[in-house]
Amino acid sequence: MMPAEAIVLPTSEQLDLFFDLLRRAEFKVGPNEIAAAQKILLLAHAEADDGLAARRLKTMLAPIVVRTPTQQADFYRRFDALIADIAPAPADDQRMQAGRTIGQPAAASAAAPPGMRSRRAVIAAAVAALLLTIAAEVWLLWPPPPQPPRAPPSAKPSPTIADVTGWVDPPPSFVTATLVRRAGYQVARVGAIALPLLLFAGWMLWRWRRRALWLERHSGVRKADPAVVRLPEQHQPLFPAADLTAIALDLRRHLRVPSRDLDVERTIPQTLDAGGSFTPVWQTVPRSPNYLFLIEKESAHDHVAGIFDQAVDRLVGEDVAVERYHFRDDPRWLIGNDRSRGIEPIADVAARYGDHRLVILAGADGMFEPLRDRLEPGVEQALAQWTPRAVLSTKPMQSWSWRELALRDLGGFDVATASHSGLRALAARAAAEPDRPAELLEGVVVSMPARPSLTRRESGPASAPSPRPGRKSALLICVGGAEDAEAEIRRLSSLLEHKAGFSVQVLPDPDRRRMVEALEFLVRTNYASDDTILIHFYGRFAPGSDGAIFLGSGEGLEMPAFAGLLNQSSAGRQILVVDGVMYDGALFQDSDTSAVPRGLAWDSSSPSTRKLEVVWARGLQRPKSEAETEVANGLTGLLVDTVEQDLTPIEAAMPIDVPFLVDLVRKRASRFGILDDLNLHYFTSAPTLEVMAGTVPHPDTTKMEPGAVFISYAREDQAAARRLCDFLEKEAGIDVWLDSRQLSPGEDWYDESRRHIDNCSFFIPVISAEAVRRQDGLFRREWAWATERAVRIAGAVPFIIPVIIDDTSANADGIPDEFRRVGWAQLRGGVGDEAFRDRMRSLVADNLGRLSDYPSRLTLWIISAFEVDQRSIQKAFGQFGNDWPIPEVMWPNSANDLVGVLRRALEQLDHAAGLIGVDRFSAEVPPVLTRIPDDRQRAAANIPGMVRRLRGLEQRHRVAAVTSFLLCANVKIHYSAVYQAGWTGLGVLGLQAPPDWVALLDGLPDPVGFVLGKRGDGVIQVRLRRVGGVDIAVGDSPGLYITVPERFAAKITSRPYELPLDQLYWWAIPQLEFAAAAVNRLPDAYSRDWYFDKIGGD
Amino acid sequence: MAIENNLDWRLREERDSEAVRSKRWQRLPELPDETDPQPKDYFADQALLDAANTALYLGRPLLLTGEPGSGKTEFARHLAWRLGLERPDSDRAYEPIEYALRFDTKSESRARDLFYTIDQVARFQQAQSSEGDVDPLPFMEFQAMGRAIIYAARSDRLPPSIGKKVGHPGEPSRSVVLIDEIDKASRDFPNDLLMEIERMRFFSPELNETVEAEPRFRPIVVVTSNSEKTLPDAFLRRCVYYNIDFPGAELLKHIVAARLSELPRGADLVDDAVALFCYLRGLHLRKPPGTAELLDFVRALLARGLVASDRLAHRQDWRSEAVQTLLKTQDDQRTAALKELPWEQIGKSADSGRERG
Repeated sequence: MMPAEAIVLPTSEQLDLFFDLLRRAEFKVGPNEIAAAQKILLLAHAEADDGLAARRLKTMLAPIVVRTPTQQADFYRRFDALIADIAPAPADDQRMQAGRTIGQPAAASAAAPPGMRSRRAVIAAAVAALLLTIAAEVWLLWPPPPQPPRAPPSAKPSPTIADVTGWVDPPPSFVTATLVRRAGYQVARVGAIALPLLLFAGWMLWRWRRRALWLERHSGVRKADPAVVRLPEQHQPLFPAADLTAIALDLRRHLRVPSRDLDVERTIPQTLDAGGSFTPVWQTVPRSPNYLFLIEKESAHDHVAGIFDQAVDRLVGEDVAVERYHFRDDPRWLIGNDRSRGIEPIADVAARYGDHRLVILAGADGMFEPLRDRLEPGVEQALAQWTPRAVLSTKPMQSWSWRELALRDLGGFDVATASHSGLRALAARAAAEPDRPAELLEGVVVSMPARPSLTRRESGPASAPSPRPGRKSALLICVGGAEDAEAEIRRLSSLLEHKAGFSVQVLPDPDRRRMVEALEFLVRTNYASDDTILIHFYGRFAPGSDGAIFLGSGEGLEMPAFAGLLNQSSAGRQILVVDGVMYDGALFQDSDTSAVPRGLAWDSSSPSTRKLEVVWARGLQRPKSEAETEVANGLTGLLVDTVEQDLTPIEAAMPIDVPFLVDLVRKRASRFGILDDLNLHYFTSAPTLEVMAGTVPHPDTTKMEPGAVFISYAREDQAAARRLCDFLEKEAGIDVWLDSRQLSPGEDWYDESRRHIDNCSFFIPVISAEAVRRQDGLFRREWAWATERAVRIAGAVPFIIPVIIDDTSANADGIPDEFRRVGWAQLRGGVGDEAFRDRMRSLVADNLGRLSDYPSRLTLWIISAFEVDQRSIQKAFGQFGNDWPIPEVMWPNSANDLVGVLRRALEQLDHAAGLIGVDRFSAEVPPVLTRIPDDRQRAAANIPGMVRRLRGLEQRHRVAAVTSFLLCANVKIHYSAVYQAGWTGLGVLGLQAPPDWVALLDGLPDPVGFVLGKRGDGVIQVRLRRVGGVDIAVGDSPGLYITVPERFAAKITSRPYELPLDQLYWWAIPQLEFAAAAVNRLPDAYSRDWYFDKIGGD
Repeated sequence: MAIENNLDWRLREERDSEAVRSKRWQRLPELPDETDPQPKDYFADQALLDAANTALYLGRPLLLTGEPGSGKTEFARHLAWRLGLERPDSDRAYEPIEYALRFDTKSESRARDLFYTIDQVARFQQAQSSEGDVDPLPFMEFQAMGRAIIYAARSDRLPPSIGKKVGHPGEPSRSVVLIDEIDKASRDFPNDLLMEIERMRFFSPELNETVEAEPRFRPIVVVTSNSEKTLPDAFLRRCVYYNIDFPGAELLKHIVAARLSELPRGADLVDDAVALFCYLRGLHLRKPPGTAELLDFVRALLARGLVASDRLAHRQDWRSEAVQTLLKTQDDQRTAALKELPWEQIGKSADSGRERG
C-alpha cells in the first residue's frame, strides 16, 4: 500500500485523457460520465490534503463508468497504471505540487497503442535524418579550411634545376591528385547530404517490405476487417447498419401478455352485459421479448461465430435483450460470457432463461443423429422447453435438404439462414405472429438432395498414371479446428507422405502471416510440368464469385484471388482441397448467390481452372451438405489412385517404414480406446445374456429390389408369363415380381400392384392376341399405371419393355401408344433367348448404376456370434458423440440368418459397385446381379454362389471387393470412422465362429479368408485354421477382418501363425482405404420421395 | 449460550424415554435470527463505501451486483443505518425498526408496482355494492418507492389522506429504497423506471394525484442484481455501479465473528472453517457455497459440540455437517471428496491469513 502522501491526483486534463483511453477500450463513457467524474475529482482535490481522498479516487470513479465485474477490475488496473504514471520520481520534493499542476499527457503516452508508438518512431527518425542532412550541408558549405600553404613549384625556383632544364613539367601525379581530390570532395559532399536521407528511405522501405507480404502486394487483396466484414468484390457490408436497426426494431417489438390487473374499461360493460354479476376482464400488458442466442463456435478463431457475435453486439447496442452462449458441436453444453461459470449444462441455462426466445446459429447437421435421420434425442429434449425457437443454419439455402425440413417438422424450429437476410426474416417473424407453427422463413428447400454424380472424368491427371511420377508437394493447413481436426490433418500428412510420395508441410493452426507465407512459398517454387502441388485446407471458407475462394485465417477472410494465383504456379497439376467441415456459405449467400461453386472441380474446360482442381472435400467429421457430396471426394480419389498403384505390385518386395507403421498404430490405438472397452464388455458379458430369438432384422421382403422387374399379363397368358419369370430369375438372375406368385390370398391386389409398379425398375407387359383383344382387365389398369410412371422417368431411360408372345403386331389396336415407342422383344410362348437375357442384364446393370429410387443407407452392423446387449452397445457408441452411428447389432444364430445378413451386405456391395463401377471399375467388377431368393431353405446353398461371384473377379479387384463386402457387412461405413477407429475400427466386435458357421463355410470350394486378428505388441497374433477351404480363426479374440492374400495362404496351417505387423499393415491398409474410398461414395442423402414418405406430407 | 452442555434435544436412533420426549421442543437450540441480522454488524469495505459516496454525491441510484450471499441486500440496510435513516426513529422502540424500504422484484413486476398496487377487484365490487364514487385509496397499497416519495414530500402539498395512510411524520424525510433483484423482472421494468427515478415523482391515475419528493429529500435508491440478465444500457447509464467481490478470508472471519457472538474473534475453529470454506470455493464447484452456508456450517459445528479452540483437522465428526451445509449437489460432494482434504494446504492458508490479520 502506498503511503498517503505518495498519492498524486491527476489533473482534469489528465482525467479527460484517461477517459478518452477508456472509451477506446470500449467503456461506455459519455459526457454525463465525464461531468460526473470531474465533479468527483473536484471533491477529491478539495480534500486532497489528507491523502485519503486521493487514494479513494479510484473506487469513487469506477462506479461511474463501470458496467460489469470485468470492467471493474479492468478499470482498477488502468487507473493504477495512470497513477503510477503521473507520480513523479520519489526524489522530487515537489511531487504533489508538480503532479497536480503540470498537465503532462503522460497517460496517453503510456498506454499509446503500438501503432502510435511506431508512428512516433518514424517521425523521430525522419526528423533525425533531416537534421543530419542539414548538419552535413552546413558543415560542407562552411568555407573549406585553407589549403596548407604550399609553395607552387614555380614560386620556389630552384636556380640549379631551372637553370639546367629551363622548363619544368608539373609532375603528372599532381594533376591527377588535384582532380581526384576535387571529385572526392564533391562525392563526399553529395554523399554526406544524401546519406541520412538514403538511410531513412531504406529503413522505411525495409519496414514496409517486412510488413507487406508478397501475396498481399500482388493479389490486390484488401484485408478483411472483422468489424465491417464485406466481400472484397462488393462494397456492401454483410450486415448493413440501417438494416440491423430495422431488425432490432422488429426484434424489440412488444408482445402482449396477460396480467393480473383488471381492465376496468372493459370489465364494466362486461359486467353490465352479465346482468350485474361481476365479470372481470384482465388487462394484457406489453412486454418486450428476450432472446437467447446459442452460437456454434468451432474455436476461438471461428470467424463466422465472430462475425455473428458482432452482429449480435450491434443488436444489443440497439437495446435488444439478448443473452448469448457459445457451444461446440453439441448444444447441450454451453459456454457463456462469464468465464468463471465454465461450461454450463443447458438445463442450467434453461432454468434461467426459459422464457426467452431461442435462436440457434449452427449447421443443422450437428443436431441430427447421423444415420438415424432424426433429431438427436438429447438435444431435442434439452431444447423442448423453449417454444418460439429458431435455427439459423450456416448452410446456404442451395444446400438445404431434408434436414431443414425435419428441423421444422420434427423439431418445431423456424429455419432461416445464418445471414443478414435470415436475421431479417427471423425479426419479421418475431414481430408478426409468434404463435404460428414453425416454418422455413426463407424460401423453400430449393434443391432436394440429388444423387451424387456418377460420372467421373474419363481421363484426367487423377486417373492417368504418369510415366514418371513428378515431384509432389503438399501443404496441409488446419485453421482453428478442433483437436481431432488437427489429428485428421496429421493423418493425412502421414498418408500422403508415406503412401503417395508427397513431401508434406503441415501448418496446424497457423497465424495469418505464416499461412500466407507458406502458400506463397508453394506457389512461387519452380515446378516442372509433371509436378503436383496439393493444398489441403481445413477451416472456415467461403466461395466468392468467379471461382474465388476465401480461406479463413482466423483473422478474417483472405485471398479472393487465391485460385487465380495458384494458377500462376508452374506445377502441372495443382489440387486445392477445401475441407467442407466448416463450410459457411450461408453468411455469404446474400452477396452473390450464383457464386457457390458447385461442381467446380470437374469443370475442366473452364480456362480459369485449367490446371487447378478445386475439390470440395466432404466433411471428414460428419456428414455434410449434399452440395458438397455431389462433387466427389477428391482426396479420396487421390488415395484411391495411390492405393490402386500399391495393390498391383504387392508381390514385389517394397521398402517398408516399420517405425512409421508402429507409430501409426500406437497413435490410432491410443485415440480409440473405446473399442477395447467395448470388446471387453462384450466378451465378458455376452454369454450370460438372455437369448433373444427372432430379433434379427430380416430383410424387408415386401420391398422391391433395385433392378427388379414387374411382369404384367392377361389371365390367359399366365403360363407364358410364368415361363418368362422363371427365365429371368434363373438365367438372367433378375428379381421378378409376378402377382400370381408373390401375392398371397387376402392381400390387396390393387395396393400391392400399384406399389410394385411404382417401385420396380422395369415393367414388362406380356402382349398377346388375347391381351389385345380384351378391352377390360386388371392388366389394363397395370398398363395405365406403368405408362403414368413412364411419363415421370427421363426419356432416355428405358422402363417399359413389351414382350410379345405370339404373332401380334405392334401396331394392333388396344396397345397403348407409349408401348409402341419403345423397343420390343418377341419371345414366343414366353421362352427367353440369349439376346433377351443379355439385354435385360445390361439394362439392369445400368439401372443399378442409376439407382434412382433406392434409398441407400450407411449402416454399421455388428455381426456377432452371440446375443449382445443391444442397449449397452448403443450406449457405448452413443457416448462417443455424433460421429458414430448407433449400430444395428445382429447375431445370426443360424445359417439362414447369416445369409440374411450377408444378403444385405451384398446389396450394399452392389450399390457401391454400381456407384463406383460405372466407368472405372465396370470392366473389372461386374455388379453382382443375382439376388438370393427369399426362400430361407435355399439360403445356405447360395453362399457358395456368392463366393463364386466374388471369386470370379480378377485377383486385385477381388481383394477390394471382398474388403468392401466386409466393410458393408460389418463396419460403420464412414470415411472418418475408418480412420478414427484406425485399423481396429474395422475390427468387428467379434466373430467367434459358431459351429454352424464353420460347417457352413466348410462346404465352400475355395477360400475367402476370414482372418481374426488380435492386436499385440508389434506383432499380430493370428491363429488360422483351415476348415475345408476356408481359413478361419476360431475361438480367438476380436480384431481385424481381412482377406488372406495368396502369398499368405501357402503358409496357413492349423498352428498359430505370427504375421509380422509391417507385412500385415502394408497389405491391409491400402485395402481399407480403398474400401473406405469406395464405400464413401454411398450417399448419405435421401430422395425427396423418401422424405415425404417419412413426413407423410407433400 | 452453552450449546455443548445442552445436547439432549438431539434425536437418536434408540428409543427415547418419555421424559426425554416430552417437551423436548423446549430444549431445542435457539434459532439464529436468520432473516434480520443487525445492520450494524455488516462489514462494508472501503471500495463499496466509496461507491456509495459517489452515488450519494451524484444523487444516482447505486446498482450492486455480486454472487448470491455477497451481501448486496444487507448493504442497503447498512447504508440506511449509517445514514441514520431508520424508520421509525429508534426512540420508538415498540415497532420493528425498518431500515430500508424494500421492494422485492417479481418476474411479473411492472413499474407501477414499485409505487403502489391497487386491488381493482375489491374496488370494483365495492363500487357495485355502494352508491356514488368509491374512494380508491383504501384499496391501494403503497410500495417502497411510493412510500419513500410520500415521506419525502412536503405535507402541505400532499393530500392528507395519503400522508395518513403511510404514516407521514409531518416533515419530509429521506429514506433508503432497496429494489431487490431487479433482474428478476422483465426487461421493461428497469426501462420504465428511468424517468421516475430521475424525477422522483409518480402519478396515480386512480387518485388523479401526482406526488413529488422534495429535492432535498430525494430517496436514496439501492438496486441489486444477480447479473443473470444483462440490464439495459440506458438504465446502467443512470446508475452508479459496484460489483461486490466475494469476501476474502479476513472479511469472512469478521462476518462470522460478528454474526456468531458466542465465538471469540481469532478462534481456531473459525479460522479452520473459513479456510476449508475458501478451499471449497476454489474447487470450481457447480454451486459454490456462500456466506450463509458458512454461517450454517459454523453453527452446525457448534451444535455438534465443537468449541472455539478445536481444530478441524484433529476431529472427524464434523464431516456430515460439512457435506450437508456447504455442498448442495451430489456432484459437488463427489468433487470435494472430503475424505482427502489437503489439510497442510488449508492450515497454511489459515495461518498465513492470521498473520496478515
